[in-house]
Amino acid sequence: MKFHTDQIFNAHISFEERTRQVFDYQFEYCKPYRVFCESLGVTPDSLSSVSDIPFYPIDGFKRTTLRTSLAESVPLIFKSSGTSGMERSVHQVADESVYRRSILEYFSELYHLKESVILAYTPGYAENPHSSLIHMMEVLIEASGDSRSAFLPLNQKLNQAQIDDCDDKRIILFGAAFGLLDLTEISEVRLPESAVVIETGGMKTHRREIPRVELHERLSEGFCLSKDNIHSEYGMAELLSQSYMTDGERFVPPHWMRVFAIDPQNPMQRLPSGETGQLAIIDLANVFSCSFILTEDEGRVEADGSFTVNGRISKATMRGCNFLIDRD
Amino acid sequence: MGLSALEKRLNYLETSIQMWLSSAELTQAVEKTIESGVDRSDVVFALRQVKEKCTADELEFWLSTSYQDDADLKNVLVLHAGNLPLVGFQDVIAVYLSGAQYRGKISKRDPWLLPSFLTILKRIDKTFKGRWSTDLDMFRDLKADHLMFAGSPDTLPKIEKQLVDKEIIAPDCKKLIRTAKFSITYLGSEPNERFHQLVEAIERYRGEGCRSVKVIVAPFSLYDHSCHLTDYFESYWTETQTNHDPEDATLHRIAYNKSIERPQMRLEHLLIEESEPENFEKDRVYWVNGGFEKISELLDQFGEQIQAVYSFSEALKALNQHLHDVKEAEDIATAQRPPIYWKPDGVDVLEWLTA
Repeated sequence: MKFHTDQIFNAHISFEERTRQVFDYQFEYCKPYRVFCESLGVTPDSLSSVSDIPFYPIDGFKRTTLRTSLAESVPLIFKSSGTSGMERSVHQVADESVYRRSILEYFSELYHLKESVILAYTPGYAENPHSSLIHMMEVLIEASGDSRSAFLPLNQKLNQAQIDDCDDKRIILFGAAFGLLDLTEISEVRLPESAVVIETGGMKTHRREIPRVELHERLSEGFCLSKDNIHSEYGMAELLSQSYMTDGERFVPPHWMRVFAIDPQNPMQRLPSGETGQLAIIDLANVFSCSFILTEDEGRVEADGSFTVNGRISKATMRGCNFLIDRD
Repeated sequence: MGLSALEKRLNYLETSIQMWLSSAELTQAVEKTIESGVDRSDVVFALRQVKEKCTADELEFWLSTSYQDDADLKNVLVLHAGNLPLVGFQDVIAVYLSGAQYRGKISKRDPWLLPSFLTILKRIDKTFKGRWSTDLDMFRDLKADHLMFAGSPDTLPKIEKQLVDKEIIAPDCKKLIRTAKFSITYLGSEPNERFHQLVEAIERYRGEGCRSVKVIVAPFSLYDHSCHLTDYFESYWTETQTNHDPEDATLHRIAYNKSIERPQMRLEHLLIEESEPENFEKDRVYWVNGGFEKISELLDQFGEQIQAVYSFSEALKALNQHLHDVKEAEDIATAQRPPIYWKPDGVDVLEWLTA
């Protein structure tokens, strides 16, 4: 059965109603998720509220095939990044147009894509055919409709002439956190005042981990930009939607995505807004795989739906002799 | 010639333990502990261990092998864990025998058992000036020169800062930090009639001790002997009445495992799953297919998080030959019944205090 994906992006339909439709569909057609829900006693018939929908561990993308389509092959496969020998998540994207629409609708809402030049300081598609980030860059570069939008060559200085040549539009420079820091170290160019730098995470790679606030300060200094122009993106191979931080403080998801904080000791328990927990996400754009994902990130969700991400959740379990000082 | 200070302490200790085990103070403490949610069977078991392991012979043996010199000038702060009943008993004994000044931050999770013993000890040994409290602030300005506690390297700096800021410990305080979290066992080639020891190693104190088995390495699959194993667990729970309803986290994990077709066994509240160990969560045990090499691999992977490696006696010799100097495997029968002189994280606490 084909799902009419237009309704996912239709903000006139309540999020709860759209969620319910996606849940019913995935329960029917995504076998691992159905088995998971049934084992927890949750079925479309028993579900009284969408808040009772269980979140599926993101690890499942490494262990099983999460998709609703019965087709032998899918047009697009995303894999999480990882070093050799590491198990990688595999996200089979049955309908590329949903991903494309998810990227473009929200990005355009925030950044006026047609008035922007997209510069991506990331490896190209050829080197990373399964990277969702690179695919997103490709989509944005192409959709910008501007021939100056491009992947920048890695480990090369920014070209001031190339930057100056874009003065009629806003430059949006994308890149992984440390990649962008490296770029500030090898380049001595000034980005125009209107430019925006969007870091896509990866603050813990080949160097020490640095807090996001410090990262933004360093990028701000390095690119001679106001801190207001340093933004962040939160996305991953397992999700077909992205959230953006444009105020330096919190990520805001699109209207077809919601984030929740879950009690790390009890994945069935949502925490009240403002409390730190394990992030769980409903991403309706994942309609053909699984939309109800329990991530391995820690963060906090505010009452307005915006959220912060602290990094990977530490399940340094409160067990064994590892009870430190009592928690009052 | 009169008794030495050490001999007096030993006598006082033996007397105190005997009195305590039959005291009204202990009876009250036990009832309160059980009321707070600890299984009666576990409390009784812990006390039985004290009775059986803190004998005169065992204490004298410990002193003869580990006691170096009187530590009477030392001011020792012990931050007691509260995950198991009487988990800090060995530390109290060691500090007392060493002659050092005992200062105990008692866990709010287990605030009755240890104090009931300390009260008796103080009654018997009038010179014992030990102090204890569940309130850390009671130790402000203590400037302890020795600190013992269980923690993780991640949280250590935060705790230390708190202790230094409040001058609870001296800036050059000597620290004994325990970091191990769990134990592993090698099952040998076949199941045997001593599986009840494996069950106790897993389930005693609901698997919350660092000597509790969280990983089983076996050269056969979980499903090969699941019925056999189930019988032993059921028998254990019938005897101890310590079976519980599964927690939501366990049910969630069971559902997930089912969805990815991972071999697993649900036994009341406990889940045993056949997979590489990840997070060591409550009521979850990992079954890993492999031999001695797998044990070495896990020791490499988890390092200081592993408290002990066990096996059944018939495989112990060969396992120890394989492990050589890396770790000495113990008989699984001792998992929850270690001697009073056992070495948490490989450190003899009496030796550490009196060196």
